Amino acid sequence: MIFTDFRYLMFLGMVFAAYWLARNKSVQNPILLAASYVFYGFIHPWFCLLIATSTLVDYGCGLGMVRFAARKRFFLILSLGCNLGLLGFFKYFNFFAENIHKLLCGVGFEPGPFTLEILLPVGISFYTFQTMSYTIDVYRGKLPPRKNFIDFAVFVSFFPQLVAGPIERATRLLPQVEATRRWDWDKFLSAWPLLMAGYLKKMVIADNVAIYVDRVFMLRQPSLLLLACGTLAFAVQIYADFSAYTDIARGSARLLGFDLMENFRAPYLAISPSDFWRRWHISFSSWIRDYLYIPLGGSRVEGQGRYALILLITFGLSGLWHGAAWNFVAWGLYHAVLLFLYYRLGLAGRWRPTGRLATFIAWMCMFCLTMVGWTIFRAPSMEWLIHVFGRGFSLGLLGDSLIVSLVVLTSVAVYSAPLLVLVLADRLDGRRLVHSLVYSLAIVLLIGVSADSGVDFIYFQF
Amino acid sequence: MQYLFRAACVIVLMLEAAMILQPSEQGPEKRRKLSATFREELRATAPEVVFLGNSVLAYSTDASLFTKLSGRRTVCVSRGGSASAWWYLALKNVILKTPERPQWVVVFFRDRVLTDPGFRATGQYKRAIDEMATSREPILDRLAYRRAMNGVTYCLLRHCPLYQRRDAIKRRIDSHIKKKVTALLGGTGCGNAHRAVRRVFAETNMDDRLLTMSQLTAEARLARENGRFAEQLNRSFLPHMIALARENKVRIAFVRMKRRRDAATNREPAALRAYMCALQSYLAENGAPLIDLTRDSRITLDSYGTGDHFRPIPEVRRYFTELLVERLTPIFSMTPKMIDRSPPALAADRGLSVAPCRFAISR
Repeated sequence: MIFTDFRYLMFLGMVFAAYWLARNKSVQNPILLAASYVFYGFIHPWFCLLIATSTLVDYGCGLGMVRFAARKRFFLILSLGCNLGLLGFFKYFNFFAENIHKLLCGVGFEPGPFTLEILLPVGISFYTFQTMSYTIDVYRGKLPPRKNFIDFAVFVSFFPQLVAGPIERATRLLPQVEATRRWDWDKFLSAWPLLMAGYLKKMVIADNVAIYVDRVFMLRQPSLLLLACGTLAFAVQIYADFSAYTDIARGSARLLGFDLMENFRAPYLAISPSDFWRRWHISFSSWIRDYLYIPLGGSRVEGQGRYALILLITFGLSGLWHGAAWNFVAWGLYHAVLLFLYYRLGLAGRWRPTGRLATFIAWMCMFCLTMVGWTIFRAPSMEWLIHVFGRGFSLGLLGDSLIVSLVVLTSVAVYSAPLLVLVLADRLDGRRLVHSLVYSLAIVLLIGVSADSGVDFIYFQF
Repeated sequence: MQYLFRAACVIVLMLEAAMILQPSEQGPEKRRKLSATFREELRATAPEVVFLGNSVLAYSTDASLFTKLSGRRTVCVSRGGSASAWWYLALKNVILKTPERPQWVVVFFRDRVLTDPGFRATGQYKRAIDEMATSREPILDRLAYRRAMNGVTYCLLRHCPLYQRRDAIKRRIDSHIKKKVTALLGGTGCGNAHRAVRRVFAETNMDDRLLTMSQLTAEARLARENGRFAEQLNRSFLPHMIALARENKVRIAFVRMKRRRDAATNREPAALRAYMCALQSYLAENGAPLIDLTRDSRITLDSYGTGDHFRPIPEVRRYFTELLVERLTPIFSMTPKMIDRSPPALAADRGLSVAPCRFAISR
């Protein structure tokens, strides 16, 4: 079930009614669990088996770590092995099989191709990371293991954020699952602007901008100007699309009395790569920081070579998390290089320029660098990218290329105008008539300008 | 509560304002240019054979060459991106409305398209449907919209002019953007920008592999959603098309086009094989011949340009048209009784084996 399907709204309505009629946590949580499995199983019933396996393993390992404290490490390895094994098989098996096949062919062996027809379970990367955070926190002693299986299963499969995050930490979401939830009008009312903003971003902005993005990135040889405009459009698309999912997830969760974390904080206003990662997909970047970068020694390393290596590993794996393709790995590595360069220039961490001009220049540089990154990310494949840049591309500053680039840019500007209106409306706190007008306009736009429903969210594939 | 009430009032007011600005379309009569063009052509040609299909037909077949080689006046009624809803309307409102009706209507289709009434009937394709529809189309409404959509979408489509005009609004925005860009560069109208967009994003400039992949992905969803023929049949336009042809004493035949997938792998998914078997039995029971080109080894991978389209060159069109003459001529010369008696032989002729059908349709 996807959020933009009317069936989701009906489903949410039913869950909402049953959930608040129950009033008691011991009934509410089983309702949430059943609803989450229906939600996930709606995509494919077999997916439920996977998430159930992951839940059982981590629940058991958490308890095992306390019961058999001497074998704590074994349970951690078991949990990580199972979770990463499932993720690796379903998401990366064909990728590695194909690449090994290519490699063997390259050195003279000719083995038959070996790939499997595997259906990628949506959201597997998200809930795997979420459950892993639980086991690691229990191992580190930051969190006592949970004995109530229902509560734990709700934490793993909570439907608003199951498929595309935010990746919640056990320390944050589990206490909410375990607490008694009381009806709160303020929370109920605060959910609607989020839901509205989410639907507007996805159906009016992202899906309409996607039309030109798809065309540009399907061209055999786009000019540099056109590629730049296509990338800019993609930057708007991916932000609107992904933040839309987060908004709808947070709105849905609020209707049920939960608070999910913020995932974006104006990412395109970043002034450095580290600032960008503090603003973009926050739940993922903070997960990577806490469970990969810091344990590898990134926060306390002395030598520059080792620091570079840690960055490359961390961001290479982050890229791979986004998809089983080399361009995602390259995108991750590109960000690692950027972080290292900024670090070498003394602009790492919480660095901020002094003065408006310096801030503007820093922002401009980072914005352009982010766009280069998105080009790598959106490229259909590395071969395509190499082909486009390797064949002596044209700048395309004249003629058809210029006209089409202007058309693309204007379309992006027109369709992303509601985004600016939303941002401005958020700043006008307390002016309820303005809010009413803005969200009413959003409904009118949703009815009159939305693209056809049924287009998946971009981050579903990750 | 006051906040909610105020928001609701503003929403109602804005929706009303939007409806006044975008009044409801009073039926699809406004856009009849295309159906009029086809009707005119049919009237002028008085064809004996009409080919009905989408861009796959347009790319592959040369009607005038077919006329010359088969000795039967032939006209193509095709529209890129069309599917069964459009074909049903074209048959009912255009082909069968001509003063001299053709003897044969041959429908060209791919895989399961014939029994998926909602496929390409909404969104950007709605305009093409409206071009062929009259102001009252209960069957279209029931099959393509009411059954294929959830209640909310259907209500919006039926009763909310703003929603109905969605595509027109977006086209207007697009045209306005192009006008502005053209003006910025010193021109007038939106022609320059429009032509530039068409030139830059022409199919010839696209990466063949990516375009093919995107087409296949789009149709993979269809294959996942519609599996079994028996379940799909009564929800589809197919029985209505056959009934219409019968009532009007026009013979109808079906040609299943070979897809790139069939040429590349020659492996038909088991579910699709069962589906085709059932379709063949159904058509045979109704005296409608089916020619299945998917196993015709003379259509090779070289014939394809992007996706399932043949390469847009005269040699390929000529080759395919000749092949079609060869396959269709024996059918055209058969009497209705002969066809009713021998459909399996038609599909299995020329050594193009068809798996024996083990499926019976319960109707």
